[in-house]
Amino acid sequence: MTIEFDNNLPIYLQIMNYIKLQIVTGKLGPGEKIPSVRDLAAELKINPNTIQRTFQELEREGVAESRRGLGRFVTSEDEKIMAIKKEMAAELLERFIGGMRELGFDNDNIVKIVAESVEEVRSEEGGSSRGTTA
Amino acid sequence: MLKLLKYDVKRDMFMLIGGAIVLIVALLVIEIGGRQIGLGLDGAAVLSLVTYTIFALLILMGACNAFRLNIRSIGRRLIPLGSLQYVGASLLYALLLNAVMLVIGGLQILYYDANGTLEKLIQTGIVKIEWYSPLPLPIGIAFILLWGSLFLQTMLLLVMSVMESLNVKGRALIALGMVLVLSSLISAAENSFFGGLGSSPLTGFRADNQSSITMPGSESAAGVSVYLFELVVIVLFVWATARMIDRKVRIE
Amino acid sequence: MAPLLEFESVNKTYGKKAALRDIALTIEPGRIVGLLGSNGSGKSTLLRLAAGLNRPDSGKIRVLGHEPGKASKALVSFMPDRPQFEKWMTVGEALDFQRDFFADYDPDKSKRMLEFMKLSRRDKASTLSKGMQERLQLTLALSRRSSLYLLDEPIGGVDPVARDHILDALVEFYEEDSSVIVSTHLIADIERIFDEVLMIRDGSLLLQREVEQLRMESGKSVDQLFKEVYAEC
Repeated sequence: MTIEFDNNLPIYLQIMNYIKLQIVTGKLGPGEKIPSVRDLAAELKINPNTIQRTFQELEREGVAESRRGLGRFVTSEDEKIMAIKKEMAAELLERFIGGMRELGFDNDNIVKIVAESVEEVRSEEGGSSRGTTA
Repeated sequence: MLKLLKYDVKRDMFMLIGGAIVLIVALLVIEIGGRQIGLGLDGAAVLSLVTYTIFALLILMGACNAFRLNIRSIGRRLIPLGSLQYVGASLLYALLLNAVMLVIGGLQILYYDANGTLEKLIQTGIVKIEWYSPLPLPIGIAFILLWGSLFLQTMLLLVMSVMESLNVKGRALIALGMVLVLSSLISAAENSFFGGLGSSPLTGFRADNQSSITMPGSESAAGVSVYLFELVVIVLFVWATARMIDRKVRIE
Repeated sequence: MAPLLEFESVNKTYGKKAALRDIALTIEPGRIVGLLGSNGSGKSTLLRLAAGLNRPDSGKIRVLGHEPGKASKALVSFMPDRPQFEKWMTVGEALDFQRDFFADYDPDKSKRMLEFMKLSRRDKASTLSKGMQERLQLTLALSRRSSLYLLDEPIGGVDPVARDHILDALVEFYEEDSSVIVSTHLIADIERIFDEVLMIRDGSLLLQREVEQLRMESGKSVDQLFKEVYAEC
């Protein structure tokens, strides 16, 4: 694992986001064991206390749970994972919408543009997949 | 303390072995070379004694310099040891080297004894021995020499610790001045208390005229009080040195 | 339990120059603390006082409740900003020196450090390059299981690659219950490993804060904040 850290933001937040991304994308499956504080600290070259804090926050949010003597595990509740996904999507959207508004688009225009780009992407993907099946 | 000594010896190993070799070669040159150029027995004995004295001074200077470097070395001062240990290690170091030299000197005397030179030296009056103590003579001589160098060294260590506390130019001159003042004070004190019966080997040995060596043993009664006085002075010097190390000596 | 390190209104002058003014601080166990300041701001003086090499003119210093001295020196591992090994020593002899004098020396840790730092016991310490000497210094300091590590500019004189390597070693080899104080003026490279920072200028302590909190509140990096704090005055 490598993360390019941004020193302007709290590092524990950056690691939290990183782990959530891994969970959402399935690199860390439901119920799977999360590396230990020491291992992750050595890997990310980060102070173990920061990792500790990250894990505490993840537990508080219900994303991870610790089992006595066994270590920490990703939650196995699918709803929770879905919730993380939605939460991350919401953050992305918020930033996107904010950015679009700054460019001067109103709500209707934003929806239109998004619909158009989705269509574009889909036809491209459709085209290429048809190509491979033929 | 012994561990500190171990690192002193390790560091100076090359110099120590070299010094020992030079001493032995010098003595052999005096002995063999002296015979060749027809140097008399008295001349050879005096030259040997001068050689030993020079080496005794070198040992003192070496031990003091090692001490000076140690008390201001950051690596050594980080060690969890009391400052007395630095003083103790340095005294032991000089004592050890002096003991080695005494062994070499002892061997030379044994050699003189075996080939009859010693007897001749005493008969001709070149070496005068006045010994009043109940202690056997060889032990007495060794004790007087070691004690004297110990006494002198505690004074020099104090001077070194003062010198390494100062942050001015001409520290060496100040140190030299201190040595002169302290040694005159002590000999003045010993003169007035004990009538000139100090035990220092530098005053104890007298090469009266170039060809006669006197080894005066102190009369026991006065001797003991002289040693007590010097012991008190040694303790004072060591205490003051330890305090200087703790509080004032500037670490690199 | 007594805090690991405590300074109470500590003052120190060298000649006429005030090196530290009225310093008060407390370091708790298990922290990596950055001691930030420009050259000559008093960082080294602060560390040397904590290591028991110099005495404060006034004020109190305590290491786990001990006054600086024999007892505190046994608990503190100090990496000075100049060689602490002696010129005649090989790398191995410099390590043996630590072994002989410190009860908390850990031969296993020292062996792993040597490998990590790519040092050989047989090399003569004084002929190593500056970067390698710094690695040796860090190896000597971290080969002990001490309560408090004081590292004076551990990344001062080395190139960025070596810098990363030294930071990695630091995170990997420090003891979790102990604390580390790292003095530096190169903040950007190292701030990711700090729990908290002390900023010091002209011998006065400007602030002691948690770094994550600083970032959260200001949205800025410690490096940037440091520059702003220094520029203000």
